[in-house]
Amino acid sequence: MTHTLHRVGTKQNLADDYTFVILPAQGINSEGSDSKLRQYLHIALRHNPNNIGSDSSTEGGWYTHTTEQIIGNCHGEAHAVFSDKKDVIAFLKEVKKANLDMSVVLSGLLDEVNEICKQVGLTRHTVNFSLSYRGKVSKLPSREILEVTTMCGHHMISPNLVKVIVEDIKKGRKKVADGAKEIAKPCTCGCFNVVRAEKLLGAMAAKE
Amino acid sequence: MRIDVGLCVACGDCLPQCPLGVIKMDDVAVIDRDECVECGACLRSAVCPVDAFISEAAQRPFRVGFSDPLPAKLTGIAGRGTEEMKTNDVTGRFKKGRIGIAIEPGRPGTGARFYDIEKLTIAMAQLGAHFEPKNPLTMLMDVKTGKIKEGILNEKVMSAVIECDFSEGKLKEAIDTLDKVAEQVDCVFSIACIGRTEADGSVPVEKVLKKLGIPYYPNGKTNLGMGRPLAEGDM
Repeated sequence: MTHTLHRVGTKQNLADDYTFVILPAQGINSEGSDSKLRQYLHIALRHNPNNIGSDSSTEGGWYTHTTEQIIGNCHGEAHAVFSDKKDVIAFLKEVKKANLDMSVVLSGLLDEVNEICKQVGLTRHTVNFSLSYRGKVSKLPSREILEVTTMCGHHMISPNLVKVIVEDIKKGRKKVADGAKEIAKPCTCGCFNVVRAEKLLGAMAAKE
Repeated sequence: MRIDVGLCVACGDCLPQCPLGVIKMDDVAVIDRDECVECGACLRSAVCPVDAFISEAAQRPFRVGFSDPLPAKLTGIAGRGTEEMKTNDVTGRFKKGRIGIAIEPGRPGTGARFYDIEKLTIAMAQLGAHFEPKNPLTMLMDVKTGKIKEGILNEKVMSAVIECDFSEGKLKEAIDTLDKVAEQVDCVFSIACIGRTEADGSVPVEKVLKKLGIPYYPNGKTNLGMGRPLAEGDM
């Protein structure tokens, strides 16, 4: 599905948000793919991801499971989240060299991703644009809450949980970093960007 | 999902865990079952000190299938959609000159009932959409009319993905139609638009969006073309 699309944000606060989804095409190059997906995750670990995960029905991300559990049970898709463009480029260069042949999808600022492709020597193949949302928008929480909750495309992150964590940070009951890690837990795919969340939560908590 | 009233100690820890905010505190915590989509987030959070949650996933398979990201038993397909553009370098599913559209009623985070989802599928069917056959929602509808199985219309789910594609020339008409349906539904829905690149990496669909004045986010998903074997026509 489109679970790493539709992340709400500004150009400024999306600049440190890069999410990889790596997967085989079922029935075409899926045979033996799980071991290749594990190799992708091992490569990712060398380049400072802030979250990893997979599509496995028994796993979650880094904030509920260990690296060994995630990689050991990796199945279907591999996910890795980065917050630094340099790390993304280094990761992709190593992936390119490894010739593992899975489809690699990178979510992020489109112009930045295109620039990254050029630096790595790739030509982007297909692009998925978000045309935002419509309908009964009065049911939605505030935009700043959506900036956090939409980092889980399955919408497992509760707006009320974000409010509680922000309040805890404001009152000094919780550190921003711990709050971001707590909010990452319901995201079962490991696609939630904890580094970006820290910045967003910190900014919310700093408001009167 | 329901809460065992005999066990609940009314601590309230589970209330903020529900993505749809349908756990309320009475004498004890109570879940509004009609609004609960069986996503399982409350149970997985493991915040309940007395294990009072009782899963009703087996009794409500349609809600689970389009809400809980983990099980994939309803249609045998993982997730609420398909591989869509993610493997397009290998499958060649989205061709040059075509525009893929993915409409996701319920997203971001309000949930949707199938009767609202059907308003969108009917509108797209009337425009001549080609619906993706492997999509779990497509399996529950008549692809000619867009009508969804009547018995499930009042079921609420976190979201469902309507995956279809049109010729490039139909984009404006499709978006105008979606804007009209937006006034008739009691949920939100997100829209995604998928396009192939040219040999130089430019995306004709982006030019169309700009020309038509249709706003889009600065961020999106890019298939980097690293999958092998490449789809026929890309070799």
